[in-house]
Amino acid sequence: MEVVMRDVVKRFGNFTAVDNLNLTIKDGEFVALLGPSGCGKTTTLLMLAGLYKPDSGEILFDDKIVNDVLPKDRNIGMCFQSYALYPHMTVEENIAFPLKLKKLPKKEIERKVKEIAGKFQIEHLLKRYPGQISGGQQQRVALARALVKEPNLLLLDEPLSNLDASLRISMRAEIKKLQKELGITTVFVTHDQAEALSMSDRIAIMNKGKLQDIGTPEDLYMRPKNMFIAGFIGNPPMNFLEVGFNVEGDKIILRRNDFEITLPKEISANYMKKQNDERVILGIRPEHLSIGNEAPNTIKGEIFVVEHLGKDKLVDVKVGNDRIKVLTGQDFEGKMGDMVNVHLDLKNIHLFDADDGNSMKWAA
Amino acid sequence: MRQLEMEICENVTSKKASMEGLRKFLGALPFLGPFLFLIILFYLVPVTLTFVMSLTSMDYVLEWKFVGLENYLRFFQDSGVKTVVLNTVKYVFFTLIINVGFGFLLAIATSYFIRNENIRLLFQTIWMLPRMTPPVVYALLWLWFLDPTEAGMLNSFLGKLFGIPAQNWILNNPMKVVIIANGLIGASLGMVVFSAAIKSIPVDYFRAANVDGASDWQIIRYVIIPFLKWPIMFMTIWQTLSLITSYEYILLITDGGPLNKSEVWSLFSYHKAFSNYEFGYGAAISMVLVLIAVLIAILMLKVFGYDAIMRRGNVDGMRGEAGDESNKNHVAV
Amino acid sequence: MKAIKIMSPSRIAIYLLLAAVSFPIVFAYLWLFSGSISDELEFGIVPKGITLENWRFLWSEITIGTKVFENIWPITLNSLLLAGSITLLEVLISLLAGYALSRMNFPGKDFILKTTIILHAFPGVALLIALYYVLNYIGMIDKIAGVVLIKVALELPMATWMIKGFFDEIPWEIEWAAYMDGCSRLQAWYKIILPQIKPGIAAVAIFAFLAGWSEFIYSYTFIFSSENYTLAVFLKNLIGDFRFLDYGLLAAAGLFYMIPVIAFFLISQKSLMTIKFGGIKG
Ligand SMILES: Nc1ncnc2c1ncn2[C@@H]1O[C@H](COP(=O)(O)OP(=O)(O)O)[C@@H](O)[C@H]1O
Ligand SMILES: [Mg+2]
Repeated sequence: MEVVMRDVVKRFGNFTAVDNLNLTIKDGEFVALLGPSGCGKTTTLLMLAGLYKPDSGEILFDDKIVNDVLPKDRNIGMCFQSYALYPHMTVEENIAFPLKLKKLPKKEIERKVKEIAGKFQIEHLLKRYPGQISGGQQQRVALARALVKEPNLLLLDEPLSNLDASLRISMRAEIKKLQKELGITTVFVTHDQAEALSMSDRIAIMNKGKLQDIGTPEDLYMRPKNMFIAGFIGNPPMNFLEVGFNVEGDKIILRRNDFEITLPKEISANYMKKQNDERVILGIRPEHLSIGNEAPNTIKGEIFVVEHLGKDKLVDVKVGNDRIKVLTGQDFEGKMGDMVNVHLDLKNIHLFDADDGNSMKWAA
Repeated sequence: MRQLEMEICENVTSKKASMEGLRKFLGALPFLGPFLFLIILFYLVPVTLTFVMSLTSMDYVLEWKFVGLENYLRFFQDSGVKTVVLNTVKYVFFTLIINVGFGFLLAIATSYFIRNENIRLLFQTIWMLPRMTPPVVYALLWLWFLDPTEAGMLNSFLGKLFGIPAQNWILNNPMKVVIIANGLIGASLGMVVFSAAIKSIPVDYFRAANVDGASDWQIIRYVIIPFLKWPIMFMTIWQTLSLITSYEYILLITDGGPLNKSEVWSLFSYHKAFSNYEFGYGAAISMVLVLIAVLIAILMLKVFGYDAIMRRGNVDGMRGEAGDESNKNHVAV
Repeated sequence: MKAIKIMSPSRIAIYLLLAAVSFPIVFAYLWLFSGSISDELEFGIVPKGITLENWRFLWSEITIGTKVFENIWPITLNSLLLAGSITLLEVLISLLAGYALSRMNFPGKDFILKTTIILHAFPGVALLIALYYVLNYIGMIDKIAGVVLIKVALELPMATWMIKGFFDEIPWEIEWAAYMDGCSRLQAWYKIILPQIKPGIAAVAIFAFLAGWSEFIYSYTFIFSSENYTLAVFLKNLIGDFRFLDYGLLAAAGLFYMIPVIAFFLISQKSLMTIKFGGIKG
């Protein structure tokens, strides 16, 4: 089922929780709704579910406006952050509940419950109550309940956030696999960018009620439209440094009192439309920085702290009053207080307007 | 806020806000109707009626003969009123001390000192008994206990042990009896509320105090009492409110006697109305009391704030049950 | 750490003190029991010989002089009727109102909530005179139904407040899940929400029943015909006449009247201990 949200607005009193949201989710697509806590993700999901009604704008399922369709008539499967299992029903009754409401014959209900329980490996729990099973098992039951009625749309609200780390990672793969198997259009809410990056076909990234961008994980990672996206996607997050912007001939020079970077011609071409001497934000990810010999076009700084990340080391370097993070190999030997030269992979730099935070590459 | 949404969703849009409000109210009416009806009929109407009646000389014929403020003038000149008001003040003050003070001691003893769950429960159950006993039976127990003959419990006890001659306790000390009898009932409420408050103190405070080597007394003084300040204040006002207008137990035990010696304000109004059939005068007496009660209620709202009182509904509400299990280690450190 | 601790002297003193102040209460209730099965007691409560004579009101008339007391069974039935009706109405009405106040939004809700809080603290007995007039006006004076209505009305604010609390505790997500699964509002209400607050409803019902069963002042004031008497009024009259004469009979009648309360204590000993007793009596 294709889902379209058109100019959707949701207010709580004077507070606008979702601001003019436009979003198209293609049939069978797995879209993650990503953003910090309180940015309006759940509100968006609840509007899709029909539990909240938009103050203005339209929601369409397969070209049909559904604003006034009751939740129960939308054929949506939903899985809540708290799982929302019915505590007074056994696992079996929980899963069977949507089917019972559809007045399916008993035999068929039994068959379907068995089948889905098998898929989620919870057959042995069917007779237990939600209070008697673990969080991970509850989560599977909630998913089973959402999927048993073969919904047209699956809504998942931070379904993994209450699980422990290792379970979370294995569930990611399982949900993704299942979704592809069943081909159900799915909206997955999360505030965890790693989750969004690893699971979804496309990511819609939200901040303060506004949709920032929607695109494939690669898109958002490689070509962030603004500083918010750049900072939110990628871990460890992108470094930002305020610099002066100068054009000299066909080259751009980024300058501040402690370093100066000259961009080669082919990269400069992306950013030419700025005025001289304006302040801009240089963004570069830790993985695109390295520590090397003294050379022109590098940044000099002092090691502030070295964090061990297992496979890598994350080096925190003090540059003037700023600090930048550099991802290095495990063999990096630097210590606190050492002076180092940070090399930039200039192909992977981003420049943002200091005023509105938009990428200068995409401002056109 | 959230409930609002379902409401809207179940109905197709109606644009005007006031229409929407009316529609919502009508939607809630089937649920609220019986509630509102009874509240209006048995609270709102009676309050109004009490006031109007107080301006009449109504008697058992229930005729409205308006006499202006005559009842009130009479009330303020009635020589018996002085005793009654004095009794009321004494009664409320000393009963409160038992309710709150003794309730507090019971709470500390049962919730802090007693660490065995079963023994704690045993004592708390014992102290709940008077409150749960029907008033008539409770009064019967007192009448028997204080029976003026040799057969009376207290008399035979004191007589056998100390050779003290039998005496008529109720006749000699009506106010004391009334105060203690009511105090024991209120004390259990104090115990329950304060115990809940003690149990809700985070266990870390006790741990920290123990690590610091605090004595029991110091823990009570510096950990428990600061936490109980609020519930204690609340209980005081709450109980005042209920004490000034309640007279059931007094009616049953002394009926205000002998010779008005234990007559309190609310009972005075009752007697005027239902013994002397002076409904108008009785209403005036009640009205003054109702006004005082309302003032205290407003004071309570001012002091504690509406929200805090809303929450209080939960403090001594059924929440104890679940809290009990999870919190029971609080003091067992 | 806690197991092997030797009790400190101060703790022992507290135990003893608590036992001492609690003793008279236990004693009084023990008397009620032993007094009812014996016509002579030693040391106040030790029965000397067992007799059922005190329980004669169950199978024969009680007389004093020429006065004949009512048979206890119709009166017991009245009390059951009174307490039962109060329970039923109170639970039903507070369930409805509590739900609306918890989960619906309508103009005036805030006002109703605040009023309920104040009424919760407002003692209805202060209004007895006017209540007499109201009952008389609607033709419910001297009727059990009249007392039922008053008692329900006066307990409603508290019951509604409690029930509202139970509804408040049910997460919205559970209700939402029910809608997503295909429930209508009504279905969600009785299939999902009500089952979850069952224990709360039971507690409210028990307290309503006990309050109705113990009810004295309204029956005493508003009921005059002996065929409408309740146990409370009956016992009050019995006390009036048999005090000083036959405590055994009074103890037995009192104990008989206490049966539901005792049953409550035995059944719910643990779980209901800490439950709401507030605002019922002073
Ligand atoms: N029912 C409500 N009433 C008032 N404010 C709400 C309500 N639901 C959500 N909000 C507010 O709207 C914003 C978005 O909430 P939500 O959609 O739950 O965020 P999240 O992205 O964390 O899921 C938050 O600031 C929240 O406080
Ligand atoms: Mg959320």
